Amino acid sequence: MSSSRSKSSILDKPLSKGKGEVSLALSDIGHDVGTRLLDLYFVRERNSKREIKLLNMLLFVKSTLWKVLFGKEADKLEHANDDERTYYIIEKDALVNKFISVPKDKGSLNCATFNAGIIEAVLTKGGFPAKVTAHWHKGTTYMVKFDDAVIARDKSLDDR
Amino acid sequence: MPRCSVIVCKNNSCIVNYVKDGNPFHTFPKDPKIKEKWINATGRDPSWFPTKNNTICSSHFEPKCFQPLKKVRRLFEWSIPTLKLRMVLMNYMGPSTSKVCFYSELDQKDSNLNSELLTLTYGALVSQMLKETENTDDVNKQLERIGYNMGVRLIEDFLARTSSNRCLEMRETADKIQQAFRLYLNMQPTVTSWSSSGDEFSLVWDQCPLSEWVEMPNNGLKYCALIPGAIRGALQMVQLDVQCWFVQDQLKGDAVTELRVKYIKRLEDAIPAGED
Repeated sequence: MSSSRSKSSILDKPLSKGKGEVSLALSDIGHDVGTRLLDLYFVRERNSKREIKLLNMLLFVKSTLWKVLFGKEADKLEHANDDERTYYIIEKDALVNKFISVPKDKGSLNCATFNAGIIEAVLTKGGFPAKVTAHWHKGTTYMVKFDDAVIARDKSLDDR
Repeated sequence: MPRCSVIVCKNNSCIVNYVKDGNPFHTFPKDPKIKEKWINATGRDPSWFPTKNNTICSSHFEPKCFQPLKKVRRLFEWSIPTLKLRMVLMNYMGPSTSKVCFYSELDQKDSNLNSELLTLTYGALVSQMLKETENTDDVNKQLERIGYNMGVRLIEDFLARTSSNRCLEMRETADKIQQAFRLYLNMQPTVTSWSSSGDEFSLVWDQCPLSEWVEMPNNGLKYCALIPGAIRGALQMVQLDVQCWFVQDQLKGDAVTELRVKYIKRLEDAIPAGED
């Protein structure tokens, strides 16, 4: 009984198989949370009006969402020079990386993957499908990569 | 011309954009108790009293104070201004905004986590665990273990913050636990149902940030198992061995949630095996 328990328990299982699964689980959990936050905060902070412009949506994440979640805005929002699909949201001290010591054998595990999951869910469910990953760079950097369709649509909105 | 009555606030109808912000100025409330709080918030001389034309502007209210789904901003009756009531530095922020930078006690504690984030994250964690593990008992045990690990670390923080002394009897311990609930979860459990020998008591609460918005599956899941785990872990670090279990649970249809804590024994300090 006890051996089967330790095998199937969530905490032991992913860690023993490597960091890939932990990141995946974290990002899944973030997704769950983000999905629910999206409507809550648009109703509360924005008079139930969704954003339709890409940049405004990103600013909503960077400022409003971060402010209500963590009490401070994310530090920076940057646009990649070489790729118009890619944006970076940069945060110096991510709350989820506080008090965390990453085990040596899992050097590239980043707890901010959870936040990345939140951002991804908020953007995707808000109508801007994107992939978001977390990286160690200038603190914590979330790399947001939008689908081509999103960029194309945003351009056509600009033209009008 | 409406002007904000908060003494350090320079917002008046020339600065604030009516169209963008809806109605940004709010007249003082009728309820005398709430009115008094508003007057305190202005930072004016106590002898000052508002007329029906005096207002406070929207920048001093938290977002939750505004009634949702209204075109024109309207406050709930219980709203009290809490934000940006004191001045810290003069700072030109650009021509369109007020020229003063504010802060309030609330803004300062920026490390305070949003309780909804906690609620949702905990919910997501539990549902993830349920997905990965078939057996509900395992999930309960895991949650208890996570709580235990948190408790073991949390007690250090608690002792540092409250600088409390060693408890001599369980009644003191119960008070401390109650205090910890207030500190970490912002909830107010009551301590009741002492056993005659004084070694067993109940913590009763009817609202818990962890269990909001929860739909329970009908499979014996102990959703809040984190809490008894944390109590057990924390008390173990101060040489108290206790047992903690739920007697009633709101999520299972009871009127309140009741957590029973039972003292078992005092743990003696022992040197870990292999260390002299």
